[in-house]
Amino acid sequence: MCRRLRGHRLSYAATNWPRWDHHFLPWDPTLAEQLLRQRQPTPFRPDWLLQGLVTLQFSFGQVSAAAQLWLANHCGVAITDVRALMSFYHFLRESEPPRYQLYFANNIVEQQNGLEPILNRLRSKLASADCRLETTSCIGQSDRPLSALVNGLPVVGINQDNLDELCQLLNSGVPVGRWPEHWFPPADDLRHAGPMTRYDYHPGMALRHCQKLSSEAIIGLISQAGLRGLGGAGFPTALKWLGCQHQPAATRYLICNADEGEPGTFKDRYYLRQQTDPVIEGMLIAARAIGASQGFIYLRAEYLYLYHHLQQRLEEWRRQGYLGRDFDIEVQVGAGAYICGEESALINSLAGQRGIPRPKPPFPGERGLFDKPTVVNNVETFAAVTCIIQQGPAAFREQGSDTSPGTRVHSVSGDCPRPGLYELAQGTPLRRLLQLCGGEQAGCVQVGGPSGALLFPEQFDSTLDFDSPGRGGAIMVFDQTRSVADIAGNFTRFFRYESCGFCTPCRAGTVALEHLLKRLQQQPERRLQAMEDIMELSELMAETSHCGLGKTAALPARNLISRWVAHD
Amino acid sequence: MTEPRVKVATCSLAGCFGCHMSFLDMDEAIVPLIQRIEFDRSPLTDIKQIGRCDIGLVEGGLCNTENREVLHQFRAHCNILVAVGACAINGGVPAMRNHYPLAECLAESYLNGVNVVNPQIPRDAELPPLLEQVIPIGQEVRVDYFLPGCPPPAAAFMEIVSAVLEQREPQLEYQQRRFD
Amino acid sequence: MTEKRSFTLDQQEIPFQPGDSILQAAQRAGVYVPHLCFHPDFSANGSCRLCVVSIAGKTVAACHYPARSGLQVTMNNSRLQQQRLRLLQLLFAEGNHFCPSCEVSGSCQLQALAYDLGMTHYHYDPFYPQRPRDGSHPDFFIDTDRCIFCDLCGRAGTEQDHKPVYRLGGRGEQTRLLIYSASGKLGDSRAAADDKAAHVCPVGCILPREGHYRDPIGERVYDASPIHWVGNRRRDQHAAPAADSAGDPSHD
Repeated sequence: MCRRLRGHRLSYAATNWPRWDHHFLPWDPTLAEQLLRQRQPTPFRPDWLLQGLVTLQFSFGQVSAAAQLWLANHCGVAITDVRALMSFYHFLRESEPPRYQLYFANNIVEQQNGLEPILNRLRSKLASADCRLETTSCIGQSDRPLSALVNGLPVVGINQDNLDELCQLLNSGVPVGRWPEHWFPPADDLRHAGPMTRYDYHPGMALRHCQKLSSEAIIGLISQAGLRGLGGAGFPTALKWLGCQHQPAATRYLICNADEGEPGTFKDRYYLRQQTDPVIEGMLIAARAIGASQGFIYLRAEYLYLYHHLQQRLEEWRRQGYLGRDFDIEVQVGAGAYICGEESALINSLAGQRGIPRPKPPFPGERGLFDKPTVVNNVETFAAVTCIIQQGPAAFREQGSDTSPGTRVHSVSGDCPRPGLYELAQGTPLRRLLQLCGGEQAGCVQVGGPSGALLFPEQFDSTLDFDSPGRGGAIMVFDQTRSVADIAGNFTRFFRYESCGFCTPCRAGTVALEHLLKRLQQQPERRLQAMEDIMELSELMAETSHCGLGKTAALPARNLISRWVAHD
Repeated sequence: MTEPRVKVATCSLAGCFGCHMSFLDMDEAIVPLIQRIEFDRSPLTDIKQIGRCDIGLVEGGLCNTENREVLHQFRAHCNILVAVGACAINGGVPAMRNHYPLAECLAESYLNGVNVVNPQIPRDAELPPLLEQVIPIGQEVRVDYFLPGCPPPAAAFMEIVSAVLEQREPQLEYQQRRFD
Repeated sequence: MTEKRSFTLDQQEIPFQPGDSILQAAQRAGVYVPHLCFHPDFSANGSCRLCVVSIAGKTVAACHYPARSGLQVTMNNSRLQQQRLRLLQLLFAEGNHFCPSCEVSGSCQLQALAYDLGMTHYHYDPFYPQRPRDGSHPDFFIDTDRCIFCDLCGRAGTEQDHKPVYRLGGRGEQTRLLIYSASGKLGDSRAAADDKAAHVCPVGCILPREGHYRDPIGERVYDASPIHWVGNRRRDQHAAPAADSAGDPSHD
């Protein structure tokens, strides 16, 4: 049935929302209602408030005060509840939109690839154009620097040589969806494929197999495979499912976490585009295993360009009768908040709230979305589920280690000739990956994104799995000229910007940490005291923060100090 | 009189001299104390240049470049530097101007304010330029001890000086730790 | 024989009722656990983190952590006290807390905890944020310079007053107190003088216009006695410590 979509060109001028073949529209309530109803037959509900705002933002380029009031009234909520969301999600803007709104990622990889000079040149050349240049934490294109979201659509490979062409386009007024093809992300090809991405996938086969099995039997297969959550935390998937399936409840929810926002990671855009069907099928299998009646894909706003494609594939599964009867999947779109990748923050965001992580316990499996038992898994985890069921758990276990079986796809960026996606067995030494991507001469490598570990050449034999420093996932390669202090400073700023602001140690601690890093550089006579203060603050944040973001936010600064102490 | 005397310097930066007044509030207790301490640079002695000192008591935060210079002299010359009072510790009342850009503060005070005659922003070479923000002294230099309060009670001054004389860590009792 | 429901808190046996958090049980037993964002009448929030305790080497918020039989909870060791001090210093540094000119000085819970933990300075550089004030209401003044984002006003509004007046918006260091009204001003909201929400502020952010500076220095709530004796008491509860019967007990 479902044709694989390898290398398929995406259409940006599709008939449905979102559209990039014309500019942002002037505010029009009738049109707004049409657009909202295109996405959701009953859009005027408090829990769909955020989706309403997202839809308006990417159609009108803003959510004006008038639009906010209109939506609040239709949803039966107070305007203040709308303002609370507007001020939390940074892609939601009240101000009049320019013709082109550009967001560049300001992750360290982009910084090191000349972000500032490009921004400066753009600013000087675009003085008269109707453009707004801004930065954001990560847009999931770190392997194609420099990249920017233009009115929500990623434009990649910007450099000093093609800057004039970009400026011409920005001055021309051509809608971004009609720009030349070469500006857009090409279909991803893995630099190194493995059993999870290159097996002979037969759409629906795994699901049909599961239809003959009890939920315990399905969970049993996943448990035999030893699958651990591939979003990064590595929690055993079967345990998570069991925890939810055991709950006495009439309604259970299933969520696909497609909000990967860890700077330097971009594997999900590959799965969502080229492995869409295995991901959807994995969700169908999980829904059957836990007894979920409704599923959601929470898509980060930076991947809005994949929204239409996802909807098309879901429609195809519906047409085939697999979806839409006792289980259906709705795609919801984030609005620019890294913290929403944390599962309980994501759940709040799906319910139309600010993305503040919930206290645990209760865990989502017990009380999740709308207080019902809920399972949240990463995109890649669902793809792995389909692979495990079709190929059998034993095949999955052939790769990887006892505690971290199977493979996973790593996102490689930075100073190496072959950045991109690498599927490797769990337990592969970092050195092997560096050989593959051409980064053997690296001065250091950040493994696992900003909340992971910074590894130096003497640690390159460290393996990539759930039991090793950084665990893998987002791999940023730095050559020997790169400053460790700059790396730590960039990551610290990232956490400061992305802190949800709920708890004291993270909200204020991330700011204080940046002040202390500045003191290290500006007041050398107080360096020792500043180092002690950073170590103490990092422990405070790690021990007293409400969620994982705060607990790991001080790691980059801490790693920096540990490195200095070890080498002074 | 063979007992060694402890040298003390004091200054008021962006402060109101209230902390100095509170120091003198120790009344007759100052008599035995004065036998054991010797004032160096201080508004109490009118000595303008600081020499080598055991204790520097700094009142007020930093609001201009001269404050910064004096603070660095104190840090360089004093073995123990004490931030005295709310302003030295967190900027205090003068730091309430940090809500506004400096240019706006100056315009309000010297150009647009009520009852301003001959509006002009003072620009004499004798006047030290203002800093963009008022900052506490701990942001600029290392500080050894802090006496909170607006002003700190006289007993707190007594305690800090006595502790140095007796070569022990100062202990501020609950009643001596006031922020107002 | 029913099993006795109790855990130990710093070697002291604390009985608890089903559903209790560590903090709730401790409070009922008359043991003071430092806190700012907790109030016995409302659901727990867990944002201030001052109630951190240690259980089997793990640091958790006592206001959220469910009490269980046999737990061994450490509250007052030097490390936890130091962490509480640092959290307080972060709270002071991130706001604009000018105690000398503040109406609630002497009866402010933030200040009282700082006194109790021996705080003399901020330790961290002050952030000096730009935050708005709101003088549009006839009974209250709002000075968000002092807000510590405890959301007590928000919870009191939804859980007791049953009308929304206050809530938190924004993100990270830009977190802000928002007012439920079209203009965003308190004067246009449904706020009333006897709202519970207007009287639970542990600092001087939501401030009644009348009645300040009546108690002379030396006779204010926390002038003579530390908060771990007096409890988290609102400024108007000074004269009648027993008034908040469901509230924090006073100890000695």
